[in-house]
Amino acid sequence: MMQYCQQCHAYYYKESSTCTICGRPLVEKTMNSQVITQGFPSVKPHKSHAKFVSKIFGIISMSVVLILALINFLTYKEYPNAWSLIIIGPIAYAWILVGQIVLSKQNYPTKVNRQVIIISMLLILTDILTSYDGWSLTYVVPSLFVMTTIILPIVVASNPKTYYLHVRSLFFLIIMDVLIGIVGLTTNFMHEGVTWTSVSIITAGILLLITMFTFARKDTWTELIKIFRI
Amino acid sequence: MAKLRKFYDLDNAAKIFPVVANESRSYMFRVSVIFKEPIKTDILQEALNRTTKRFKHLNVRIRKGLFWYYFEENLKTPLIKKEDGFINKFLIFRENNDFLFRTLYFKERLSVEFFHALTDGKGALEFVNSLAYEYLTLDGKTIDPEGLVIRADAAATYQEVEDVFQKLYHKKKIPKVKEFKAHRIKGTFYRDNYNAAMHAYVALDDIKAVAKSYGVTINEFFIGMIILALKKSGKHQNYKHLARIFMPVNMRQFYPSVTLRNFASYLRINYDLNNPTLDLKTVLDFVKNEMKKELNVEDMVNAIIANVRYEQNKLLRMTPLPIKIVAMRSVYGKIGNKLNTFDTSNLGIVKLPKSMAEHISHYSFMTVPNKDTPKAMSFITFENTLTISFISKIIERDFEIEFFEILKSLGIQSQIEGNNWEVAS
Repeated sequence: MMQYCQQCHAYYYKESSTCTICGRPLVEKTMNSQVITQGFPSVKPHKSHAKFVSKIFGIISMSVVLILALINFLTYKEYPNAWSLIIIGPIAYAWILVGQIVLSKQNYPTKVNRQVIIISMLLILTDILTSYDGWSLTYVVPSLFVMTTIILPIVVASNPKTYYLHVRSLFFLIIMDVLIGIVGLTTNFMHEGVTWTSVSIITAGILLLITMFTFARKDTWTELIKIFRI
Repeated sequence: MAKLRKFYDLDNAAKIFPVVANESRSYMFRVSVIFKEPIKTDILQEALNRTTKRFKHLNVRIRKGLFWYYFEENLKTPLIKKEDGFINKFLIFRENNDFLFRTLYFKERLSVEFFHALTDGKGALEFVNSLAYEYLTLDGKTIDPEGLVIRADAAATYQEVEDVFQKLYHKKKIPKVKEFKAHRIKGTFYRDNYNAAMHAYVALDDIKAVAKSYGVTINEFFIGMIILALKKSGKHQNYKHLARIFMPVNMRQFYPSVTLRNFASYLRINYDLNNPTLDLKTVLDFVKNEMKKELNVEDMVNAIIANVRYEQNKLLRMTPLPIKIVAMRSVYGKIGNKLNTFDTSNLGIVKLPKSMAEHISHYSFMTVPNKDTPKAMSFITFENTLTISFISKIIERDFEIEFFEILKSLGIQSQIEGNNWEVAS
């Protein structure tokens, strides 16, 4: 025995009480069906708690930033510097850290690259805001990149099976190394006469490239073909 | 045999999908096989692992290059999940071990939802049949494949992953076809991009007999039914644009190929809904004539070549992917699905070995609508069960009521199965 809609000439399994098509009540009627129907599971309404929490923290952060910026602006004549940035900076960094690093589902070399770039930019910004001296670009940023260029490949090499997944991140790191090195050698943003940091970072990048081609020539080459294929 | 490459360019049809797919336009489609016994998940997982490894073009993840997206071998294990009530939901690859298809089960039903960049309906059906075969075999059933299903231990061939669109390409001049906007079905959209689904199971013999009595094919019959149901459900409104019924065409029937990747073109049947006739015979005669004109292989190949030509443009090739993405989204946003009133697709008849068919109740196949084309209908046939699947982004079901009214007038009875149409409203 099945359920039947007289309006639509359609049959349903026992559990149905109204017609899905026209909404009318069903009546019982005999019909031999070879078709096994399962129905569909009920849909639960979609609620995102994470979004709600991020909205609350977003409003708190925005309020703090606006209040500090306003006080800084109103008292600028007495204290003529952008002191509010010292607090606004870490708040902005915390958001970037959570969004781009903690919650990001990218693989770890990408996260490391992002983190190094964000920290470098913050350091350069701090240098600029505290009467630019060039310490960031001369020493700290190159050191950060050289360290990353040494450590990241070692971590990647610890699992050779997934090496191909990280070639692009390593290649990106090499490009960054060379670019920062060239900036150091060709501009006067750094301490005058200090070239060893720029040379070191370029050397680190080139050494990484040589290492990649020495130990995993085929994989590296294949990955570069994939990425640059026109 | 030479080892198959472990990365692929996306085929011409696939290139657009990763760029324009989103929550409301998922470009997923579902093929389901319904067994006669409830599914055993541990066996299904094992069958899925084996089958996915065999189907090289599905065992991939998608990555961005500097100029194009590409597929590369996915080393992770495909997941199986219990159905959650959503159908053809936008797939977040990262949450799916990077695979571009999701495998779902619910009681006796095994469903695989594919992202269209991977394959078309025929390629998907081959995979589902193989998966069902592996599952049944692992479950202890003895099945002779009779050359009708691809076994997981059979060697993969280059021809299966071939991009046939590139083979059809030539540099000769092709006539330009001017496209125009289609009439759009309006209604109240479900929240959360919910897709309401309904299957109507009808006897193939009944449909064949009715179609024959009108002198039309099954495809022509259903397109005629769609047009008439649209006309009746639209009541007495005036139509500014033509109704355009979109139907993909499997090109393997014209160019023998065993490719499991996308190899389809399309046709559109245009009908002026201001035409006052409500007579099915008149509409079917019109569809039959239009179909003769539209089912022109040369025109369909030209449509493919026109698309491949964009891809071959040197300037476009050398444009970095992020710029391509912005340009493609902007063009697609303006035109996109506005050319279609209603999408329909027929996956044809599923042929299985006899010893396998006895374990299977039926099949179903569902495409996905979008905000411009909020309703779609698809068909698949197994033995004498023709499954008509309706899927809708809007709550109103005037179209479906009229469709079944016509079916009833033709004396065709159906068995219905649907998800909760009101639940997410």
